[in-house]
Amino acid sequence: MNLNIAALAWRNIRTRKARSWLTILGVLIGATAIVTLVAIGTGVEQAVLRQFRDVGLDVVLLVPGETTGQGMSAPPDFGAQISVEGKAGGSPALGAQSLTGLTGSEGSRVLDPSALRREVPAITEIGQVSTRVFAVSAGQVSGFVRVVTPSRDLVDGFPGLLGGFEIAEGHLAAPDASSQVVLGAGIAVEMSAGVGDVITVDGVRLTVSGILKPSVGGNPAIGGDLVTGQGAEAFQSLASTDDAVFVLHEHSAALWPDMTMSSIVAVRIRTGISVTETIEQINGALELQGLRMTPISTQALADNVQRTLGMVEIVLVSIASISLLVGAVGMMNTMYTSVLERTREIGILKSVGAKDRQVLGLFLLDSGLMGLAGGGLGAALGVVASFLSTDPLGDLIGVTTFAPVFPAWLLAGAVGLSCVLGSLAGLWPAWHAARTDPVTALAAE
Amino acid sequence: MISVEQVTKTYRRGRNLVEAVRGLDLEIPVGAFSVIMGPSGSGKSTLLHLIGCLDSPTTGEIWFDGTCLSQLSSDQRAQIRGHRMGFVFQRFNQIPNLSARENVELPLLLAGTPRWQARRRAGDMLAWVGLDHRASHRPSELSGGELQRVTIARALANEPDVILADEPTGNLDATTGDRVIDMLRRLREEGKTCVIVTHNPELAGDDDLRVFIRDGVRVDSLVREMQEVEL
Repeated sequence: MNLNIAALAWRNIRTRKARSWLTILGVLIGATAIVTLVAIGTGVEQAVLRQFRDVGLDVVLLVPGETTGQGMSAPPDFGAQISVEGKAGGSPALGAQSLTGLTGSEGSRVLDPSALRREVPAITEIGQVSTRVFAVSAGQVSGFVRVVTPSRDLVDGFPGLLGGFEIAEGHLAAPDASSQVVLGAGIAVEMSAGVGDVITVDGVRLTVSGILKPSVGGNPAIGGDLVTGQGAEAFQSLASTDDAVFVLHEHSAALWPDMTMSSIVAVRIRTGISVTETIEQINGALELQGLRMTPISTQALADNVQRTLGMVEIVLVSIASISLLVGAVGMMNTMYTSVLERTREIGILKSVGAKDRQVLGLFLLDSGLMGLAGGGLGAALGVVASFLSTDPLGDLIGVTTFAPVFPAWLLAGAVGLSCVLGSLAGLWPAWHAARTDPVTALAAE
Repeated sequence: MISVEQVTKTYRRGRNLVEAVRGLDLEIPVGAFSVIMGPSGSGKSTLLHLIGCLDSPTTGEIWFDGTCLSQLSSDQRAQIRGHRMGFVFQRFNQIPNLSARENVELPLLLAGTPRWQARRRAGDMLAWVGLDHRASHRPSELSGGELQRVTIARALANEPDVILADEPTGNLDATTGDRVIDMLRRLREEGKTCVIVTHNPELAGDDDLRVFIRDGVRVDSLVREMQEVEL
């Protein structure tokens, strides 16, 4: 009997094609919006979190200076400024500028890693890195380039901080080879320098010992434009290796003796130890050494991103849900009009023996089927739309290596929700239809 | 056996209460071919709706085969409409987007008959009314006479005991109307009870149970006297 009612409902949808499709379209748009937004949101979140995981969620950076909770000012553009024929772009003053403008009065005091390790036993690994912009030249090409000086410990223990630091050609400077340099993939191309070539960095001649692999997807700054404040810039500028050259920290002091280098220190915390507590210990140790540095944990940044994205997603999905709701109201309108139009038909059905609940079921199925069709087609369209919008959106938010994610609950939920909303929208009109008095209905035009 | 006992039906039309049927008694034996006649607005259609379980009386009782119809639930009345009664309307009342056969299948499907069986039975019924060749046509493609024959096929689909016809010839020309009435009369041979409502006294034959209604009450004796005077 129910099958027969379903057949009648389906026949009705088919015979009112145009209106059925328009009604389905209203629900479809809502379902598409929800699926697309959640799939992209989840995809971006996973991509950003993956970047943080690559660095290591057990990593804490100690950034020179004090941050005020609002994060630091945006870093200047340290992209390579290359010009041909030896004409240097930019002002020479840049040469003394540090990465985050953090060389303060405490710049002369340098953290003692072994002392920190002694005082905070939860630290398993420690490394440091500093960044400067120097005038660099190679043959006819010269310009200002970011010079990153990681310690060997940092390269070995925290390659994720330096975007993986995979060497494509050659090798890292040998311990005794103090005048060797590794080039980022982009710089190597722009300077057309290869392994064995000699380049000049701030007047010091260095031999290229290795060239890095290009960063995946161009320049994957961690978290893209989504992560700001709280020292996120430190992570982001370190992670992009294409436009930088690398000299080991152990050698840089000898190469540029009159430069004070304020370092970013990376520490890894033993698994299972509370990051928050360890940070407190680190703060105490820093105070003892008389240093002003701010600890920033990867975990905190990741949590931050997750929270921000979660909030954005909730807002977007709420808006998308409203469109689904509007679709449902449209369906209610269609169903109510349909009930009014088919009043006489309802009378006929009742005169040939249709029970109230059969009439109710007929109209409920009508709207439920339309909801199901809208949800199903909407979910399918959402999958297509997500893939189509991945590239333009990725460029927009600076996260280029994400793919939309379609969890089963999302697709099933979108279809299910549409079907339920469709049925609910049809409930009142259907009830109205079921209650129609057969004699009055038969008299209707 | 249908027994109408002191039935009144009052309904509201705008601000006014209209008494369509006023304390009416009627007995229709099983297998009778009864013709209820009266001018328009006399309450004869209302009476047919009451007998056919489409409506409930305001007061009084209608008994059908030992069941008091006025005490039944909405579902039970739907059950009786679907299984024990078959309706033939002046306006045919076919569902426009269904074919003739699908319209005949409708009461069968609603009664829970399997689809293949409903299809076969609908075919048989259309053949009985001589329309098997028009089975796949929509109501808009059929003539008035054909439509009324589809309606009769639909009314017979669930093998009801009673056929209720409300002005079955009202929208038909005389010849087609006669054919439809002949068809209904043939049902009597199969033991079906027929109740026909019409304003046309010529439909009634001498052997039929003739009921005259005016202003919601029976006026049989009055009419008989008038007819005798005319004779």
